[in-house]
Amino acid sequence: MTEIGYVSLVLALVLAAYGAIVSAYGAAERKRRFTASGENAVYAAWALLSLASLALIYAFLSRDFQIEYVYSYSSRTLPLFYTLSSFWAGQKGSLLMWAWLLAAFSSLVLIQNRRQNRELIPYAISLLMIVLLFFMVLLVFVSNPFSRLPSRPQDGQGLNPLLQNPGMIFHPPSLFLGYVGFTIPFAFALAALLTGRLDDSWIRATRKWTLFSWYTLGIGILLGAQWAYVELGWGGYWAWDPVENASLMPWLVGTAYLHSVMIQEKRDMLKVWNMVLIILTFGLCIFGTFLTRSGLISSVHSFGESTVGPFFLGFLALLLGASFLLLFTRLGQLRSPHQLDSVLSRESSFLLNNWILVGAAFSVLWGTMFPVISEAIKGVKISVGPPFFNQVNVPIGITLLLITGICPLISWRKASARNFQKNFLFPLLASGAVGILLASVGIRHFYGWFAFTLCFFVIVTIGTEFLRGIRARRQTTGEGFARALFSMIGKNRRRYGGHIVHLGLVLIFLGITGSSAYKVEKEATLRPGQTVQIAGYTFKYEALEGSSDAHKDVVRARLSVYRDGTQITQMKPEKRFYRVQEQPTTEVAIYSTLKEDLYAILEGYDQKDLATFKLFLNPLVVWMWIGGLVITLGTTIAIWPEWKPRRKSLIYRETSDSELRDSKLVT
Amino acid sequence: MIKPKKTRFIIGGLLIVGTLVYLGYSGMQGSMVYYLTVNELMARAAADHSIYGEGVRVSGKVVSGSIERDSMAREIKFKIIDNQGNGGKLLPVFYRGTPPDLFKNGVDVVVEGEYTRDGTFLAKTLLTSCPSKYEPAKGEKAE
Amino acid sequence: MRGGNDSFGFLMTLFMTILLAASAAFFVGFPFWQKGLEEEIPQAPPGEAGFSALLSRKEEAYRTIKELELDHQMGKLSDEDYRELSQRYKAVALGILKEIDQRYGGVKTIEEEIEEEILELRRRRRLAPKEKSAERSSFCTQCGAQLQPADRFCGRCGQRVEQ
Repeated sequence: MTEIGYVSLVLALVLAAYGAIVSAYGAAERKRRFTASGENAVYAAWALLSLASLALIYAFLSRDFQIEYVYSYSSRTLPLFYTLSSFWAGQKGSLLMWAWLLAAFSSLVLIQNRRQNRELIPYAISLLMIVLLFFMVLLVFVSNPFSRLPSRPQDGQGLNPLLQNPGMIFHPPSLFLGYVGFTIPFAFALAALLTGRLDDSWIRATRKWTLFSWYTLGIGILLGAQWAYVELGWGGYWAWDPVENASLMPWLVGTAYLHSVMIQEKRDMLKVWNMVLIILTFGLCIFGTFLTRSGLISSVHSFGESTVGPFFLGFLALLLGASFLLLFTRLGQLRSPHQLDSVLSRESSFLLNNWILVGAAFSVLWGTMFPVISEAIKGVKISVGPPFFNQVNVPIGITLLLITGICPLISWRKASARNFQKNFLFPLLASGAVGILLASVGIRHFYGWFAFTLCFFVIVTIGTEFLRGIRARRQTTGEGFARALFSMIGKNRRRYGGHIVHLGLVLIFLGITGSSAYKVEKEATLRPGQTVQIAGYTFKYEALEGSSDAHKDVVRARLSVYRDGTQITQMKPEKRFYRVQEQPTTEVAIYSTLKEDLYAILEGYDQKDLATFKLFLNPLVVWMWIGGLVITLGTTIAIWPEWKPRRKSLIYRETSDSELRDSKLVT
Repeated sequence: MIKPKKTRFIIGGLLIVGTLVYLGYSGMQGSMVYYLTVNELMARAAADHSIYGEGVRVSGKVVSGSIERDSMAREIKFKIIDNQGNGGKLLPVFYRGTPPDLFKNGVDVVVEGEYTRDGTFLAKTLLTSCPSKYEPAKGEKAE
Repeated sequence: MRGGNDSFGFLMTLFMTILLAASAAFFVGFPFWQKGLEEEIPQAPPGEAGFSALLSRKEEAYRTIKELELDHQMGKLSDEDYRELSQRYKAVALGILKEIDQRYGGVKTIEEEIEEEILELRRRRRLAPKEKSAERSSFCTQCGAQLQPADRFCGRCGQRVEQ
């Protein structure tokens, strides 16, 4: 069975190469049979990669430890759930997953576009197959997941206990979905450049792909943060580590792209800029993978040096070089006849957001790469720490938040200053009042105070946006409140979905601000029965308990938590020792409320039950995860398929062709 | 009509770039630390004394059998060696706090702190390679 | 015994390999002898957007008009700006409609015909009393001559019609 896996990989490699060539040739020579054959090659590659993935899953389930990958990432006692997730626990499986997703997405693109974008498709497919070819070369020649050990070991090394966490099951696939997803708009962008079809059809064709990739990448990052928070046990969720940065950079540029394509759709502007952004986004996706695989920058996550690094760098250089060269040759055709109407318009707020997001991505890149840069220039590695990233990105985040708040107040093209002032007045006064209130209850931390006030401002502006929309709708249609809300969202999905996503981001911002500006931490060594106080909570150390099962020995401390004399909860932080891996892990205990998280770590203990605890009070952390859910809701609304235009138009369309023809276009 | 609008956008852009550069520059000043291997640190300390008392990040490998913990695991002493495989001197490290879960003999670590004149490295932070896709070196894997 | 198993395994793998390779080759090669597949991809005229692109551009213009309406109702656009912008986008949409008619004229699906009938009925019922007031503002701002809807310049004095 597993031999079939490798055979499938080799065949998929051949098909990727064949598909790339045949599609490009068929498109250039306009030969239908060739492009059709290329399309079949995509489906066949997908089928073969599915077969290869099944073979690997089979190897895991049948505990075939002769397969080196299975040996390295699973063991007989590993539960089924985690055995399946071992698929992407290592580099080889991740690469296979990447390739499978790419083939799957390419096939979906074909199915989706059977009758549309026929000019772009063959070129896009050719490009997608080139990317697939790269991964297939890695899988077949450099990093074969089916490679075998000389003998068959009795048991595997098992999955690292730190990866045995639900967060780790969804975090990597979610990131991969994002990385691979961005390949689609990238391929279409290059196809547009190659064919010279430089209108916005490539953007329309990939709009949902972009949104989907942006969403999954963002949620992947958030899940990673949550995993770090609950599993790594240092009380935080983000450390500006190169690996974290590697996933953040494409997300930042992707966010800029997501916004700026709307300007091209609406105004036929910024064509070159959009091309640059999508090329950079995809480039950063590949670069991120390179960074984590190459050992170039050592990081907390250091993936272990691996042989695939140089391949990624070469591929990246080739892609970026070719893309920008192509873009350069088309510059003349990409010039836009339009210009921005007004400085005070949603377009210019988008432009501002773009500059800032790209600036943020650049600063993250700069900070991450600084050891390499300084070594190249000064001959000595100098690294920059979290203070650098915070210093640059905190003001950036706050500015973005401000723009998010102002954005709904101004309209496309041109906001008249008078209306703007009128719309601005209420949110400004309301948040001013809240700002004063916050200051008077003792919030003194400047950034914290400012960010809280801004969060409130954004919530108010988004709220008024909804209320006004509902009011306007009720005036014209006479619907009830709830009905007006739903039909308003239903008819303007992208717009209101976008607002809901912004709301989610505000909640995340709230969480970040609260937990970074107002974190309280305390360390205490206690004897059973002793107590310690932290920010109004009293922790009483009750006892130490031990237990063990097939995999691990556990030492658990019982802490009773009191507030105002009444017990509110009991927390049980643990130290575990996994015998197979000979590795200790720290299991933190978290008590979450909407207001704050209590976070307890058992740091150490001795024979006489003396124990050391590290206790944190992390305000508002829960709102980050709630924000993630809100973003999910907003994205779902924005991405939800529209009714087929034809069926919809029959009854529902309000502005119709014939009405328009009859209307008097006069000034 | 066109010109002033365009200049306004250009001015806006320059302002943003300027602010970012300023923020970046001032941020750099506060957080730049040398990033050295054990051998580079030794070489620097031998050449001139400016390295003492400066913030330094050093990467190395924990020497097997060198870890000494106190009973509460609150303080830890260990030695690291250059992980480029060139041998060289051992660097004793003193760290107060709980080491990460993955900290053990033979693991690659990054310590940040300062190098003192008595030859001990006072670490403020101690990082180990992250478990995600952590791939043990070939030698360790064979049974 | 073991050797037998190995060679059996080897033969199975070989067999599966050949089977997979052959079916992939067949599937991929199929379009070359498939009947009813046109040889050439019809060349779209250079620089022209295709039918679907025109349709989606039209949809976008409609969406913009709706959005402007919403913004106006919500008080974000002044009456003046709203009038100007929505006229401009209606002109854009009409331009696209005309282009579709010119190039793909006469191609109408049955749904579209039904839809037009429905709309016609609806419009008659709904807009009947308002029909006259629609012509209200079509006069030249310079000399007061009446303008035709499509006019870009005044027929009498040559004043540019603001759009």
